[in-house]
Amino acid sequence: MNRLPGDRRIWTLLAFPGLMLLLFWLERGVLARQVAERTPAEEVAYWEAHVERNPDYVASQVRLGVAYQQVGRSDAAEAAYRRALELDGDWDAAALALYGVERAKGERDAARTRLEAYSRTHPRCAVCWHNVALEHLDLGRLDDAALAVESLLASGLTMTTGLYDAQDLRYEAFVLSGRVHSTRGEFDRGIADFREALQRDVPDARAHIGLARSLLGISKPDDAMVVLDEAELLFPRGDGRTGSQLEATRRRALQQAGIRGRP
Amino acid sequence: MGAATNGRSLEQRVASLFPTRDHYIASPAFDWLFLIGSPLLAVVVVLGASRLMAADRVEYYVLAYMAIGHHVPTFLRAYGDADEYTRNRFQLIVLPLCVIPLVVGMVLVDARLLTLIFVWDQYHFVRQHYGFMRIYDVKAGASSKFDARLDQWLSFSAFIAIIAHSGFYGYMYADSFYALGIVFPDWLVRVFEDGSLAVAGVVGLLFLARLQWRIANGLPIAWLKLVLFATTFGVWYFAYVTLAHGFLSYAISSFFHCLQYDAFAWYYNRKKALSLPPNRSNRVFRFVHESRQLWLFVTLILAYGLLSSLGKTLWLVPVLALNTTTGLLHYYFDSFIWRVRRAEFREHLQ
Repeated sequence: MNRLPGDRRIWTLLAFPGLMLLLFWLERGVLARQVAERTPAEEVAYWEAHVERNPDYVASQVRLGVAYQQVGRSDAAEAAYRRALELDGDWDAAALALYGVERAKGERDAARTRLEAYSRTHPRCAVCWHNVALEHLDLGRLDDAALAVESLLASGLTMTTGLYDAQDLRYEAFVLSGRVHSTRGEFDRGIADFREALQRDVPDARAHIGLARSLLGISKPDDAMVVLDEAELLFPRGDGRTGSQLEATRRRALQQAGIRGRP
Repeated sequence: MGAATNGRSLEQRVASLFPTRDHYIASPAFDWLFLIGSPLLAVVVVLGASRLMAADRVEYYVLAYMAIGHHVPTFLRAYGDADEYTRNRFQLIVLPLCVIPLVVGMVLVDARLLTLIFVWDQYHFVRQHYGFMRIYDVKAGASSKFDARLDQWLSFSAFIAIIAHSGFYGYMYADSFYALGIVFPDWLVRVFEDGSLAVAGVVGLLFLARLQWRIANGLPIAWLKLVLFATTFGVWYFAYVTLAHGFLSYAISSFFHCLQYDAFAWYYNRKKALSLPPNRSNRVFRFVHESRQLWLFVTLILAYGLLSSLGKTLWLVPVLALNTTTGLLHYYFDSFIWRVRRAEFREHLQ
């Protein structure tokens, strides 16, 4: 210890953790409240002022579009996203946001067509392929959905945009792939996909539900019950949509097994 | 005029425009490739790579293998060089013990405060540039307290003006502060933007006036410092203001910062290692910095980057905490382990 107390560096050193703790208290105790109390209109005003100063940066336009969407100004949001794509035609977040707002406005076909075209020219946009696959699956276009899932799995499965909050894109991809295969009646492939998804240890019951349904597809109700029991252990408060899906799948399993009640 | 007052012929004055070999830190080739020309090299490499792969991948590779990796030479010097370790033992032992639990805690609770580390990151970019300016001034015999202060003002004011007019950083600051709950009034941001430009303009004029005065009085001029300033700030302006790309702007800046840092650390530490008497306390430091072990030095840098990027897929939170901790310590340690004014430092740069 070659420094004596009173040395400026030592005081700086001791002040550093103190300052970090003080700032952390500020963040949680004071600033977090301001964030929580912020209104969507204030958010619009903030990003409008920012974009006025910073009109040529793509992420600024996307952020303004998101703020507009929060107050229901879909046309303004769409204009902001289009401007963002003019600034940078390779900005995945802008393409996805434009898809989202067009879809919300009811222009679903146009939105899907545009996103699919964008995905073809930007094959690494995993979130784009994920949405395209979901669209086709919802419309019952299983071959197109399967192709989109293949592209999704080949995309590298990395997030190129901070706009979307997927816990684990690989998990999402395998759940989607499992859904497509099971819907097509390819239960073995679906089971393999759902098992792959379960390996990711994501706190979400969809892989369990999909796996149980696929097992029912090949008449294995006992195996399905094991999966559902595990899901209920992992997600004991499976309320809402997940809870009702678990319950419905369990009823199917019980019917298939010919059991009318559980001990 | 200057030529007359100093009795120097036109030939002598013209010759003084060209730096001699001893004005370079290592050698003309080394300096031009790794220090002075590296900002231009960064533009070529990063933009070239973006033609071969997606921009976010380019940024990923630069951040993983260069930005994270360049923390390694700091630790090699701080803990491996026995002199450095003895001199700063208190900071090198106590600070990590304070920072590690704090950073781990903040990563675990996802504190937004951590996002503001990028402010310190930018500060340390400019500090490094200023450090090289000082070395070139000293090497050219052009150093004075006033010039040192003017260099510092020039570097920081020009950088702040660039940041204030950068779409890329304008968004990053707006988003980070907003997410944290801090909203600066619009008028204040505009005053900051215009004010930073005005300050940089005034300092730039002062700098030019001082340069003119030095030339007129026949005082030595550190031409390499001026070229370094031009390449660095030219590229920063291009990357942050002209290009303003969400993935490529920072990648360019980080690429040349890390290349400069790693190259300089290798050069300086190697010279220091050669001068050390062989003993147990500096055995590792001397071994890593032997000329034939350059591959090991590079491998250590790349390995930390590789382990971090692979580790993130398995243990995201611990690896994030580790990278944040080494980043913070790198910024802090750098503020005292490379002091140009120290006699030992000057001795090894002769």
